[in-house]
Amino acid sequence: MKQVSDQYPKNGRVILHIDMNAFYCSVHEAVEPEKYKGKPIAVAGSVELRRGIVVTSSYAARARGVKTGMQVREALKLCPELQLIRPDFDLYRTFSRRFMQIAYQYSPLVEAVSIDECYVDITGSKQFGTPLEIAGLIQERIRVELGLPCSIGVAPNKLLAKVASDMRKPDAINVLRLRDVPGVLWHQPCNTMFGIGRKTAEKLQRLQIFTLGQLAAADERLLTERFGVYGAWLKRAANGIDDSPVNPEQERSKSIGHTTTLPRDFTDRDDIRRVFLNLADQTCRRLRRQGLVARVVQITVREPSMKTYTRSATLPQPTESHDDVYREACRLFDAHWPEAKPVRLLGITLQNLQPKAESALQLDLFTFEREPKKERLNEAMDRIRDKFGESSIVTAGMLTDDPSALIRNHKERGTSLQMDHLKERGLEEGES
Amino acid sequence: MKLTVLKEHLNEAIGHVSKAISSRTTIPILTGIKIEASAAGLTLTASDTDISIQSFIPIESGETVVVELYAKGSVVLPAKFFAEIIRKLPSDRIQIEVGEQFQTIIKAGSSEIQIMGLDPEEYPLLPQIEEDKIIRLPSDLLKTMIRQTSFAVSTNETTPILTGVQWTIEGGKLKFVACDRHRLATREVSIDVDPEMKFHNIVISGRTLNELNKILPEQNTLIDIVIADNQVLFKMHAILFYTRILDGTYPDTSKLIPQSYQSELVVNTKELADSIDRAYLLSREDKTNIVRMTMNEDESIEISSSSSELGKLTEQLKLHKLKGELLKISFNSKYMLDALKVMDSDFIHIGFTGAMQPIIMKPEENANLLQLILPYRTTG
Repeated sequence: MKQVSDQYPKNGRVILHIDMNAFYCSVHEAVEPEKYKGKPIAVAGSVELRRGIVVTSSYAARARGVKTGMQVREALKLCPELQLIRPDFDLYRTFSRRFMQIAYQYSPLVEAVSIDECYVDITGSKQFGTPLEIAGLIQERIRVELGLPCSIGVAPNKLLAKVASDMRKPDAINVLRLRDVPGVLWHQPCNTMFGIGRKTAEKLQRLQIFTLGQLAAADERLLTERFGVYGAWLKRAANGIDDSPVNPEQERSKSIGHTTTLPRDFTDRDDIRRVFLNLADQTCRRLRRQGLVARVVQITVREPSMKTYTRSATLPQPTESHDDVYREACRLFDAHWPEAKPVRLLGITLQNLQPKAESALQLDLFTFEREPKKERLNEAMDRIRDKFGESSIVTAGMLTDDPSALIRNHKERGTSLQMDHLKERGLEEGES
Repeated sequence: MKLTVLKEHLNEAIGHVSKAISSRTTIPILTGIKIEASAAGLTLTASDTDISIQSFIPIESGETVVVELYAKGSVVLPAKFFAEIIRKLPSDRIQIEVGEQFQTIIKAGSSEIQIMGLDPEEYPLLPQIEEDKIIRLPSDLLKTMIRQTSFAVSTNETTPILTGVQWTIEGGKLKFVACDRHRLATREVSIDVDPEMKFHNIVISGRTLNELNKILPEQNTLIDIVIADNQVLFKMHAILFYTRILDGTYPDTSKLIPQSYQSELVVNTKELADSIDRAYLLSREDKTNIVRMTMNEDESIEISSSSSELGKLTEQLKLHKLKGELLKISFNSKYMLDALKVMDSDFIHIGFTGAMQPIIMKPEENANLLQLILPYRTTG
C-alpha cells in the first residue's frame, strides 16, 4: 500500500478550494427540505418580489433556464412553479461560519474569499490522510452535518484549486495537477482562467492571443509592456503558477459602507438627512462590532440619470459614533449638492479605519466630560440591539417608512462579499 | 504731489504697512498702498479690511531731513511692485512725483520708473474711533503676552471665534485666553485703569496679533490701546494699527480649569522640555505626537514614546517635587513643547486631576500664566 506522504508533493503545497453549490438556495433546502428539496426555487431580493431580480436559484430552477440576475417576472415565465424566497442573510452567515469551521478542523490555514467559498492549505495535514481523503471527508461532513452540497478543487496552488472546483458542479471533487494544465486548460479561451476578465481577453485577442496555451507561450516582455505587472502574472497564470499564500488572517476591513436606493427621487433635505442618519447608524454599528474607529467619511450620491458622485472628508478625530458621521455626511451633502436637485441613491462609507484599542483620541476641552457618557450610551444600545434586534432601539430621527430603515434588516440585506460575521469572531471559537 | 524721501525710512514704513496687504482681497484698490504727503510728513496706509495699518514718516528726524516736500497730494500705488522696486533702487534718496491721471514717476539715481497710480478718493476711510476707552501697556509686556497665548489659537475655520485671542478686562486686570479645543493658554496682568472698566468679548484674531507682534518695539515704550465697538486701535510711535474684533461669543472657559489637583509635580523646565523634545522625534512619525508620562514612587517620571517604524524611547527624569496619586498620562508632545517654550521660568508646576482630565502647567513663581493641555484617551 502506498504511503500517505507519497500523495503529498515534496516541495510544493496542497490547496483546497471549497465552493458551496447554489449556496443560498441549498441552505433553504437544508433548513426546510419538505418545502424546497429538489424543487425549482430562487432567492430574490426586493421589497416587492415581482419587481426584483433573481439573486441565486437552485439547480432544479437552473435546469429550466432560470439565471442569476434575471428579473423575477422573466424567471416566472420560464418556470411558473418557481418558488420565490426572501433572502435571509442571518441564516446564510450562520451556515457560512459552520462550513468554514468544519474545514478549519483539518487545517488552521483557512482563507474566506466570500460567504460561500474558502481556500484551505492542507500541506501540513498528513495526519488526516491523503489530500483526496481530506477533501472527501470535508465534503462528506458538510453534506451530512449541514445538508449542503459543495465542490472541492484540489491543486498545488489557489489559482488551480479555484479552476478545479469550477470544473464540475455540483457535489464534485476535482484534482488539477500542474502537469494537467496543458491538457486541461491550454485549448480554452483566456477568460476561462480565474482573474482574466472579458476586457483583458479582448485586449489579448488584439495581440493574437486567443487561448491559454498561446498566453502561456507568449513573450513576457510584450505582455509586460502592454499590461504592466499584471502582464507577468497573466503568463504565470496561464502556466498554472501562483505563489500567493492562503491567508487565514481576516484582514481588517478597509472600509465599511452602506448604500440605499430611494423609493422615489428625494429632494427634501429632511428626507435626505433621515436617510443619512440611518446609514450612519448602521455603518457605525458595523464599525463598533469590529472594534474599529474611522477617520474618513465618504458619501455616495446618485442622481436619477444614474450619474454617481462620491465626496469625502477627513474628520479632525477618529470616531465610532453615528452622530459625528451623520453630521459630516450632511455637511458634505450640503456643501456639494445643490438645493432641490433630486437624488436616487445615497450611501455612506467609512474609510481610514483603525483598531480602537490602538488609536489615541485627543480629548476636547468642550466635550471631554461628555465623551465617556456617549461611549457608555453606544455600548448600552449595542447590547440591546445585539440581543433584541436592530430596530429594538433607535433614535427618533431614524423612524421612517423609506427603505433607509430597511438597512437595519440584516436578514434580508447582505452581499456575498460582506464577511463581518467572520471578522467579529474567529473560526476557532465555537458557536455561542 | 512731489517729494523726495530717504529710501531707508520709506522702506521701513512700507515694511510695516505691507503686513495689512492681502493677496486675496476682493476690493482691487486694497492691493495698493495709499501715500499722502502733507506739511507734517508722509503717511502710508494699507488695509485688508480686517486690519489697517498706518505708518507716518515725519519731515525731519533729529538732524536729518527725511522728506523734502515740493507739492502736497496723495496717490495709491500697487503695493507689491512698489515695495519691491523701492527696495531695489540704487540711491539713498528717492523722488516721487504724481502727474495727470495719477501717473507716478519714481526717480532714484539714474533710474526712472513710471507706474499707474489709483485715485486715493476711492480708498476706504479708516475706522473712526472714539478714544475714550484706552488702556496703556508697555510694548515688551504686550509682546510677551501675545507670545504666551497666540500659539494656542485654533487654525480650524469651522469655529472662527477660536481663531482669536480673547481679551478680558475686569477689576483692573487684563487677561488673554487662547484655546483650540485641545489646549488653552492664558496670561493675566494688572493694568493701570479705572477698576470699573469691564470688557468680556474682545476677541482679536491670533494671526493679527502675530503681525502686530512683529511691529511692536522690543522696549518698554507704552502702547496706547483704544477699544471701540468693533475695532481695537494700537497706537505706537509713528504707527497706527487697527484691527477688527471677531464676531461671535467666546465660550466660557473659566469653569474648565480645575481648582484642585489629584497629583502635582515640580520639574526643571528645560530638562522636561529637552526630554519631551527627544520623545517627540519618535512620536511625530506616527503623526499623533503621542508621548506618555508615568510617575514613579521615587519622585521621578518616565517619559516614553514609540514609532511603529523607528522604535521606542524611554527616559527617567528626576523631579523637584511630587505629591498625590501616581498617574500615567498620554498627551500630544507638540502641545507640551509649545507650552513649555513660553513658561519663562526655571521650574514649572504641573497639576493633574486624572488620566482623562486637563493637565495644568504654571511657572513655579508666576501665577499669572497658565497652560492647559487635554490628554489623549488611550485604551492600549
